[in-house]
Amino acid sequence: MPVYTFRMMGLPPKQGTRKLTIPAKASCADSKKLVRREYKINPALVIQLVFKGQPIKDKENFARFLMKMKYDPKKDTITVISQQAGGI
Amino acid sequence: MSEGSLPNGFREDLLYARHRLLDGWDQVAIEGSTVLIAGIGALGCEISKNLALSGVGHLILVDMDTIEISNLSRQFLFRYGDRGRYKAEVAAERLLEMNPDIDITFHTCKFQEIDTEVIRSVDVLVGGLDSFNARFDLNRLANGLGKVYIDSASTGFKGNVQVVVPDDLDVVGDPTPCFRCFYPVPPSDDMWAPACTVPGEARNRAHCILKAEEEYISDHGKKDEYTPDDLTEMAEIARQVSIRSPHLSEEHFKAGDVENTLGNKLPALITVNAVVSAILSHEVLKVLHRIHGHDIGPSIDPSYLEYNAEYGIFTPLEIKRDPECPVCGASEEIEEVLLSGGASIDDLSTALSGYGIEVRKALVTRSLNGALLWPPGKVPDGAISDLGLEGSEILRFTYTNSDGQRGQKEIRITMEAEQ
Repeated sequence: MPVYTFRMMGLPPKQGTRKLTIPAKASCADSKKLVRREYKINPALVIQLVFKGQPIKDKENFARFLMKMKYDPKKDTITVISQQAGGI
Repeated sequence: MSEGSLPNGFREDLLYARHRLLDGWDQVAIEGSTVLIAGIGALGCEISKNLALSGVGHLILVDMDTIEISNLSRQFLFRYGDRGRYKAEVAAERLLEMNPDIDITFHTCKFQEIDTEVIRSVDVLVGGLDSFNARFDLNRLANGLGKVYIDSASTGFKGNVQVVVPDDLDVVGDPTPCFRCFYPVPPSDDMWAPACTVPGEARNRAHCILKAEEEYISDHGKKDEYTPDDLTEMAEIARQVSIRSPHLSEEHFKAGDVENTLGNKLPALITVNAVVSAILSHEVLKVLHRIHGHDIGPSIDPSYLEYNAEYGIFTPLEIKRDPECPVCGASEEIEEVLLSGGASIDDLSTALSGYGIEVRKALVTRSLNGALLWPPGKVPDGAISDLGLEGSEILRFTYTNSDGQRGQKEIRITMEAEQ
């Protein structure tokens, strides 16, 4: 299964960079669940994955989108943004 | 002679003397400006203070919530004695003490309920909101009226600012991606509770639970960790809260509901709010200058900036405009469904099945103002007209397909007049 490099926005590279295996059939919404678990993101935060300035839509197939965007596993990273959605 | 007894013009000259030393600064332009601030919480208090002391001539403060003790560690315009009063009202009083030479109006309602003509008179719309859906609505409103919208959010050690410049506002700068470009689909309803405040009256299930926790602590004293018995008791109190809430019918809660909701509490700190608000406020001042033909610098580029206080890092993020964005992109084709005047929700459900929308499992809101018609799984009984829908109106359906993917679609529902 393909491995992708993620970088949590606002964190230094050491703390913010993770490599994650994303199943080829996974949608972006599925991928977000894996990312949320890996980074232990509060469920009250909404997360968005951005590659080359383009937020990835939930319904997109994650692998296909990145292939279309010419993702290079050696140098590219996918930015993870978490933002207050509600919470208390 | 005390400062208060100085003639007005002379007092203002002294007050803004240091501003006038800034290259490009035009105090008259700032004094002639109007800014609407939606949300007078931690961010809104800071932003309104910054803009009031900068001399923005007219501030419109909008917040429907009342002041709680837990607000006071961040919302510095409020005092212990203000508990229970409307935030917008108290903030207006305190800001006028700080700068009596500006005009402040306040609204203790949702910004969606304010007359569009009032918003049309505004130069910049500012969001210090704690609800994602409210941000979607403010973004749409700003775009529709051709206004600059500057959004902010803060959680824990992190916060962000996003400047949204619509099309055809060349004097301000190139158009930027809107809030909806960034988040094409709103988060699900389990994130609906407001971020920092329990409103005076419970408006949804989460509020009932938060009120129940307040009452529980008041009766039993503060606990570090709740036991299953505590949660069960709070679930019962939450039910009682729902009964006495005018906006709700009786709701039933389980201990697990209480645990989940209380587990969603978000951290917040005044220092982070102050940094984020200062950045946002300065962006407002820059935009106001450009609107009035002056220049104290361009807007942040890229238009999204995040601050992480833990590491002291500011990170700009390049986002591209979404050409398919239903707000700022190619306008979405709104399809229309015709229903008879006495049509039921079941009729609507049948009519929309062709669009792949399961009406009963969808979150349904009015596109016009974001007002909730029903949350997923809680479709009211009766005719559609019982919901106050008459004539023709665009509804927004946020749904999850049978394959688990989320989507959103707006459809115009037109009710034919009954014969």
